[in-house]
Amino acid sequence: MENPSIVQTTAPLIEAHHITQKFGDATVLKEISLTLHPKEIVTLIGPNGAGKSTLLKVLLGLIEPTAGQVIRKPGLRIGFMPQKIQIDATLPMSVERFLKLGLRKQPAITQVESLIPTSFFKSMKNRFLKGVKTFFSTTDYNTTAINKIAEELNIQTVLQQPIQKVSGGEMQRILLARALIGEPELLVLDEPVQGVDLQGQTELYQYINRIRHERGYGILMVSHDLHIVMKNTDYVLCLNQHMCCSGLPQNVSESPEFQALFGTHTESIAFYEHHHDNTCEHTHGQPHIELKPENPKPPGLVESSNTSKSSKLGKEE
Amino acid sequence: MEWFPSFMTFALIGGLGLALISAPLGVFVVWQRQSYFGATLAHSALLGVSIGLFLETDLTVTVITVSLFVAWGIFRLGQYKELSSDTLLGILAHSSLAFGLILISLQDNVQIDLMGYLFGDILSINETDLYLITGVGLLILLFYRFHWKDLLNLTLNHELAQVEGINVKRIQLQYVLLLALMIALSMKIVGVLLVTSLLIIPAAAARRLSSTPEKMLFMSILIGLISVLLGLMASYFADLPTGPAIVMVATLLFLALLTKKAP
Repeated sequence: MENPSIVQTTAPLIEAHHITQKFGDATVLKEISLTLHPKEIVTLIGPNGAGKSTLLKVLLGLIEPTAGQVIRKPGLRIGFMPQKIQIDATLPMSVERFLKLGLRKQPAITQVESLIPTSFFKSMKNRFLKGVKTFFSTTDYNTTAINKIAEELNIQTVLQQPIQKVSGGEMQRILLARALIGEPELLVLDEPVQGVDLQGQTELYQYINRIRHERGYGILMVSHDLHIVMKNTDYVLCLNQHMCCSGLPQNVSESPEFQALFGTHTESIAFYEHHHDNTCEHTHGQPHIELKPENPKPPGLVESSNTSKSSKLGKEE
Repeated sequence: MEWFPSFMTFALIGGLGLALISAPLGVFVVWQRQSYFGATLAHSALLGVSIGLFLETDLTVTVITVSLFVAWGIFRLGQYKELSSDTLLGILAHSSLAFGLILISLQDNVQIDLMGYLFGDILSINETDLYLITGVGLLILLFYRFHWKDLLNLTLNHELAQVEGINVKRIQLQYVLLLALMIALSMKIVGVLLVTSLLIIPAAAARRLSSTPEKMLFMSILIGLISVLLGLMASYFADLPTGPAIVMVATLLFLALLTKKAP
């Protein structure tokens, strides 16, 4: 499963071999393999229920696969951006604090004790507060990292707001910031542009693409948004329980399996040369679409990808 | 302090101690939406009482053991997603209550004051209880010293916390066991039916006064202490049942703070 376009000299961040995942009798994933190197973007696409999120959880070590093996680089630092996050309104938490909680343990900056004499009560109060902070291990971290990332993602203005009050688009950027704050080697993004308007989506993808070059992150991403994603992805895995097709974006988008799943209206990425390099054939063990096995291009699926697009447009902020 | 009868001393120290240990656990009960979990543990504490009576073992020890066991059981069952935890807790709470009541009714020779267990009897606090409360308090202090940040992170999102290297299961289990301990101890004071209120009402009231998790923790300790103090006074001077009096004061504080806007 080597990516032919990039000559790899570095060791992979994460490798998965023949992952099979069953929940009860249902096989959710079947024999999935993939490799991810630093600076590489691998995108998982596939219809709802294809097992994308399950595969992500297996790779993250959140669930043990029924069969197969996941090899992570020793000590791998992962930044994870979950699909959504629900925080109870009773938890008083600012966006800034949320980001701070993602900082990895690092020596706090030792603050130079001020030599200016302070009043007795003031110094007592300071000492008490310092004690409290030490108790909860919330001593002032190096917050420059937070400010820098907040600025890059344009969320400085919401830093002091309660995290429950931010908009959907802001939340996505906050979650991305949180994933970045721990200086990860591998970024795992579960539908990073959910609820973000079209322009925001492009910007977010451009940002993700930029940081992987600047900082050398490997990026594993789940996405529905085929059009924008394709441009920057190095490698695409099209999942529908089994590995439906995989390879370079251009190859995948042209493959009949992909078109069966997503339809042929992928104009923006239709310039690429048709080229078969994958193992996925129509006679592949089980039907691609369980609901309508007799129809290789189910109109329902094509429509559903259409509607999801338009509903996103409707949601623009 | 001649007007201050000595039997109130234990009640006062015990009650204030309980407020101190329930607030730190209570904030997480509120943040993690686990009030029903607390109620279930409380109901199972009554099962502990009846088992203790049945086996003729020390009641405090039996109640603690049963509570810890039930907490561990719920925690393990919660790992399976088949039943919604709401349903699961409902079944457990009421079946353990029913089973406990049946077990008590089967013992003809035992005369027990069921009301005392349902609504609490603060005057029954003895020295052992005070030691136990102190012990649990120290455990909680230690636990929060090392895991406060981890607890906050896993409250925000379990998966995120685990990916960031926190042993979510272990910490959550430790927290749940501490909760079971606290509930077993507080049954004596506020009773099975009111235990959860001691956990959630001070925390909910503190929300209005707090802009950070730490502030909310301290505010909820403060509100808990005030509730116990005023509740005991009301109980003493107006001859009200103690547990309900404490809960009433806490609720009044909560209502008073409702008018304030959350920061």
